Amino acid sequence: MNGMTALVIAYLSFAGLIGGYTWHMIRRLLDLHQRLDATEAAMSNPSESETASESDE
Amino acid sequence: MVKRLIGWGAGLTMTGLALLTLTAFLGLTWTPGVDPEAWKAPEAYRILFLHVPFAWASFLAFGLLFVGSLGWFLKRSDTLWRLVPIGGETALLYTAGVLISGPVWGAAEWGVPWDWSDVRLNTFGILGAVALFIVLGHRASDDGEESRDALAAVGLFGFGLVPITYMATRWWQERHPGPVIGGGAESGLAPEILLVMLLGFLSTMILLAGQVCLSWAMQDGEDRLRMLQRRLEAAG
Repeated sequence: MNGMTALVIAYLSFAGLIGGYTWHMIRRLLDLHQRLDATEAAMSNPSESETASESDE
Repeated sequence: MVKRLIGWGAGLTMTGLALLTLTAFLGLTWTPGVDPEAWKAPEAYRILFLHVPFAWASFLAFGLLFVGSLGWFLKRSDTLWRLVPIGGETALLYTAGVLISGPVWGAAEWGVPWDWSDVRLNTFGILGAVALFIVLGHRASDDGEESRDALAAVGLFGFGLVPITYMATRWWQERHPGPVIGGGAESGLAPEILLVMLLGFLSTMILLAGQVCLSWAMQDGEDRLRMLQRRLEAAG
């Protein structure tokens, strides 16, 4: 492998790792935020959540 | 509190990413080249501008793992325990960067990606395996006392390996280059190279701090979600 190829592969790997991990964290945070909102909504209005769960069934 | 932590985490992460990009840019364009006669792949030396800061950041991540593991063993602290999965995840990220870029550089410069007789390479490989074990172990197991004990023990073992890994190039240098900072009279670096490397270190430290804030906020949110779901189940 020549030096320039190694340099490109290494820098792309760094970018991929950091970018991938940051993206993974953002997705996890957004998903958690949605689940928290849904649970809090269900708690503040239990009848609505029951209706929702019945309609799911 | 959680919102403030997310705000700090996002700010630090963005700053760290921007500085890391600047480090890469300066490393590729501003720093002087090395003697082409003395190196087989002189262009590839620029890998070190991110490789070395990633290695330092991985050691810091193992430090978090150590604090979390010790906090769990000594105080059974749920708060400090959070540092075990956070330290494991960030340690895996940074060791992966080192374990990918190192062999790529080795393949270009040495002609082989790995040398099984080099202690630094092997202990760093074990550090990567420890971080991977902690991440996978945490995801696969129930969050009980026994699994926490096991993961914390592995975390302490990993941290114990850090000083050996750090000193390996001083004690048993085989193939991995010697220390670039504080390694004696012959290890001096050109001021530009040193400056960019220190910028890289600062960048990864800020990035790591941002990642820790975001992960901490996430664990806070997950705890809150579990609590709400328990309450909802009890009410239903």
